[in-house]
Amino acid sequence: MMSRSNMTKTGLFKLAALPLMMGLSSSAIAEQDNKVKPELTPCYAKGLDDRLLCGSIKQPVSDNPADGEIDIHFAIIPAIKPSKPEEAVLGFAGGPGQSATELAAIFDRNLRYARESRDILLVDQRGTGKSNKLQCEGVDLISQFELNDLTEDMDTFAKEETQKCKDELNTDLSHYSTVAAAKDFDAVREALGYKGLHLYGVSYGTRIAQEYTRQFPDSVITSTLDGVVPMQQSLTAIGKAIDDSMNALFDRCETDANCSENYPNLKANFYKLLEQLDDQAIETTVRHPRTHKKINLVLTKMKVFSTVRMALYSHTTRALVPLAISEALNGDYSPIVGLLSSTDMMDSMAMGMHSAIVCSEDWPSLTDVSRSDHGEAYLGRMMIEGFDIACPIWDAKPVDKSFYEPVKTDIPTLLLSGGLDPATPASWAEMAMVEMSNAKHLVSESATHGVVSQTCAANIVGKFIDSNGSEELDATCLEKDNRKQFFMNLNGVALHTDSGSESSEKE
Amino acid sequence: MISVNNLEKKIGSVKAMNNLSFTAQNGKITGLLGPNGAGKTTCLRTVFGLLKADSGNAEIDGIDVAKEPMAAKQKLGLFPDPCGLYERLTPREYIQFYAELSGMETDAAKAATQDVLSKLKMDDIADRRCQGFSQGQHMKTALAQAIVHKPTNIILDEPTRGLDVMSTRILRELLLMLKEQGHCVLFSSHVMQEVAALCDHVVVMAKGQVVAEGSPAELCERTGKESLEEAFIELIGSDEGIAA
Amino acid sequence: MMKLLSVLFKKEVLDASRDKRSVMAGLYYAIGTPIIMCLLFSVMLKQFASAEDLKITIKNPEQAPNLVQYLESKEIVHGTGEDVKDIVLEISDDFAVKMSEGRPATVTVIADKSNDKLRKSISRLERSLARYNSEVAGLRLLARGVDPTLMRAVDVQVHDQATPDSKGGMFLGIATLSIVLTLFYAAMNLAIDTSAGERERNSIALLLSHPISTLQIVLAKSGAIATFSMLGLALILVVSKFAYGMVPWEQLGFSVNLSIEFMLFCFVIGLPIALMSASLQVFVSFMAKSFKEAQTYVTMVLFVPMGLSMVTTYDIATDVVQWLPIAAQQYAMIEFIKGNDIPVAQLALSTLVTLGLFGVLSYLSSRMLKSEKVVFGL
Repeated sequence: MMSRSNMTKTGLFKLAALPLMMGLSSSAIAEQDNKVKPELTPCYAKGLDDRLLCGSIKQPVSDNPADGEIDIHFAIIPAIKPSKPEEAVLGFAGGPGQSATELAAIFDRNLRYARESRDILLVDQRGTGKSNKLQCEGVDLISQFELNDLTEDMDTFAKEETQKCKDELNTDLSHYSTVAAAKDFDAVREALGYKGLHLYGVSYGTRIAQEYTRQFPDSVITSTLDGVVPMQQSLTAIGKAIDDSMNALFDRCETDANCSENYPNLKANFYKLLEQLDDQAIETTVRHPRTHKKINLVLTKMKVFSTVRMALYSHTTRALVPLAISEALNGDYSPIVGLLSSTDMMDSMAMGMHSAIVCSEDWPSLTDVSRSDHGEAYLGRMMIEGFDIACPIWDAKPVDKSFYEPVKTDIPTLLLSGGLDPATPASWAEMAMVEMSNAKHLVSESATHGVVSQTCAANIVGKFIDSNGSEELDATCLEKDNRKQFFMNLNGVALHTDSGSESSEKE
Repeated sequence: MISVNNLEKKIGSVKAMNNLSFTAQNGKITGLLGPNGAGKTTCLRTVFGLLKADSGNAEIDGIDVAKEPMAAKQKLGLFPDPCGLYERLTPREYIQFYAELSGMETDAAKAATQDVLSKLKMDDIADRRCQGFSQGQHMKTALAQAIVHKPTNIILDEPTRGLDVMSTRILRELLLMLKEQGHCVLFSSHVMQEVAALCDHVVVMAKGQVVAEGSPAELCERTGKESLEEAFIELIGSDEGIAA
Repeated sequence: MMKLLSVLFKKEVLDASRDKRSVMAGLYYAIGTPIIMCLLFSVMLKQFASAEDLKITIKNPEQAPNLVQYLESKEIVHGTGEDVKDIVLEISDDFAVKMSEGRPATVTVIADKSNDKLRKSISRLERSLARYNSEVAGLRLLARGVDPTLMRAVDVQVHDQATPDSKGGMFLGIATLSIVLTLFYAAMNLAIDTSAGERERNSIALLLSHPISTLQIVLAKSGAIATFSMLGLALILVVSKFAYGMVPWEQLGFSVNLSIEFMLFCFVIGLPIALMSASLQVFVSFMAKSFKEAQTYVTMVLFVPMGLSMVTTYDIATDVVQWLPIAAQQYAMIEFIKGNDIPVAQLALSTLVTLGLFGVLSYLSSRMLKSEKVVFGL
């Protein structure tokens, strides 16, 4: 630019100077590129020995520049042998509210085959992890044990808590919807220079993966959805899945000789227990699961149901459910306390971001029909009640109606469902794929939520990604039954067989 | 001209050269005659500069081999015994290599090589590898190497050893040709006929000493024998009687 | 001087290049070694990676159906027939009773631990049993209202500084070992042929009778040998790059990647070694009295660099050894591949020593060629 006048004067040199000018300008662009390319620093994630690369990019909070910027943090699990340097697997965490980078160890394990030749990219979705985590002070285990959610002023209490959290965060949650977040992911992709991505989403992560596919189809090579949440479906519909998964457990106990003998009428007993609690919470003293101090426990229907519900997610804890129910009926709440003990481990979940998603996506779409339908299940009803209290306070802008349309795409998509999933049943995946022309749905009958973690599916996903979705997948190994036997007593699955053991117990 | 002056050398306890002196003139073929173990090869190797004498010296055109080996060797063509060729090279490559080693520029070496190849009528084998050469071809190649850089002096150590009749003839013609051209040719041999037929001057050696020298006719005359062979036997067999 | 040197050098290279058998021997080494090693590695990796069903004999399974099922989920099953490993898992008769009483229930692993073929399977079984142990123990605590994480007093987090490129440790050692040894073996036959062979064929006397110094002869010969060594090095680097690229290392969680930069690095630090190796072999060959003897001696002498290289490969080098030639250069190669800092001091010193050895050995060889005994093999 500076030399323009010079160049017109000395027109002869113009042509000769041209290649140099181009060289200069292109190097200027290259330099700019370097500037945009985020700085990567070595870092580590919990439970994963390998050295990762971490970095962040700045993203506008909204279309309005006055809202400022947000740092979107990400981590790269480097490929073992980077033979596909222009590709990466983008992992989406669930929740909503979990941090993808904090779950790096799990993503690394689930995507180990894909990692052999390409990077795994984990981005903390806005509002989670290091990307401006929207988190309010949680309730500690003691208060949680003490809390009686049946009292009259519970609604007021919930309202106060929500308001307090909202004031604390002082953020407009409308900017934290799935729609807004999808753009961050693509900005990270572009900044890192990946040409194409293989998506891998679990649970809520499948929703953001689908939204990403809708907004940036050209960036997606394949998409793997594990425990699928269809765009058309509100999370409040989860109640029915919980009931189904629970009934499957009860049925299994009934058909199992030992279980039905040891825990007769398990299902009836469970509802008997809930019924008892419906009227009157049980107040008792228990040992703190870690400190062993005596603490108060107010056992309500909500707590018992939630405890059993959470136990349904894993085969290991499912093994304890019959024991926990029958002991509770007998007045021993130890197994319930044990199962409850992990509840204050929920720190990692960003509840503010969680609320942003459900209040702008799942709550506004509820109709009278869906309310009564989802409300048929106990937990669905509870969820709707909770949203009805919290969401008006959060006041997040509802997403556009088009958000609820099924994703229409011909990108190779692999959907995975667990037959015992207490959250996202196989029928949801069928709903999600109605407009997907190149989709495969695999169901592992004995899996719960998150098929890849529990089964041989990591191998299948590896092949799916490696072949860009073209290979015929052999899913026979998904048929393997990996359920565990129920605990018959506090010590394990074996039954007391003879009285001789009783006498030796006394010695 | 090659002159050997008072060379002395001990190898182990044996005196290989014992006050050895003689001269080979330009334009003449000088033969070094002696029985096996007389010290012929030791003498010639000393002239090559391969061995060091304990005392005395060898001069090539007046240049002391021990003091100025480079200068002396440039005036010298060698045909050692035994003379191994590089079997994987062709005669042309082999000869040119030695021409360059003797100090010729590449182009000059190339021309000289072609020259010597035609002179020795070797064009038919010039570009074949030396491996599997007949004795005659082998000898020709070795000789070509010795004369390619046109040295005034040429030394041949037992050049006829193992040669057939045809090859011997060729060699003889070559030596005569060199003599014609005014070279100083010195060769060692233990074959009487060769020496008798070729040499202008014969140096008879035994036990590291010169026992007699002169033309073949002179030697016969001195010993009073008909043939050189008998003269030779007379000379070396009666070393007691021969005074220095 | 330089002119004569280059005439000599050219002749040596020409002569050597026509020595088909020796050249091929070098080529076979440079091409064959990486390919054979990669084939072996592939077979080995296949054994490592395939977590096939482990078939063992389980006695008394009816006592512990849950344990049997757990092992099954880890692909350890009771089997019959030929491919059953010689491992017996004997479940005690009172297993169920002990289990329900909360006492340790005994299972016995019966196997020969000195049997290399079984060792991996045994530890796999033991690992699975340990996991079952902690799973049951965790549930027992949970059932008693105790958080099972209490059992984990210390949360050990490991921050591994390794990169996928550096994890190949032993394999990198072997890869660099073969690369370094090329500099010694690729031109070994040529080295013997051009020195002991030349003497045996009676062509050295004529060469020595020419107006050139013995040092020039030795340098030209070493130079020619080093040229072929470097050719071998270039070849093995290229072949290795492709051969190692074919081995599915990534299945074991690391990669062995010979970058262009690494190849250039090897080439640069390999040159002094090639010169030293050539002068060493020439020296030893001239020391020997005959061609056969030279072959024996050279082979024996090459155990020294091989030893130094092995010491680095198997990582048993002491601090002192790491400063020695060959060992230091190979160590630098490994560090270069791993992407670590190159030990500059060691590398510089050992390179200087290597060049020094080249000088000394060349000088000694040239001295030897002045000796009548050596020249005529007396």
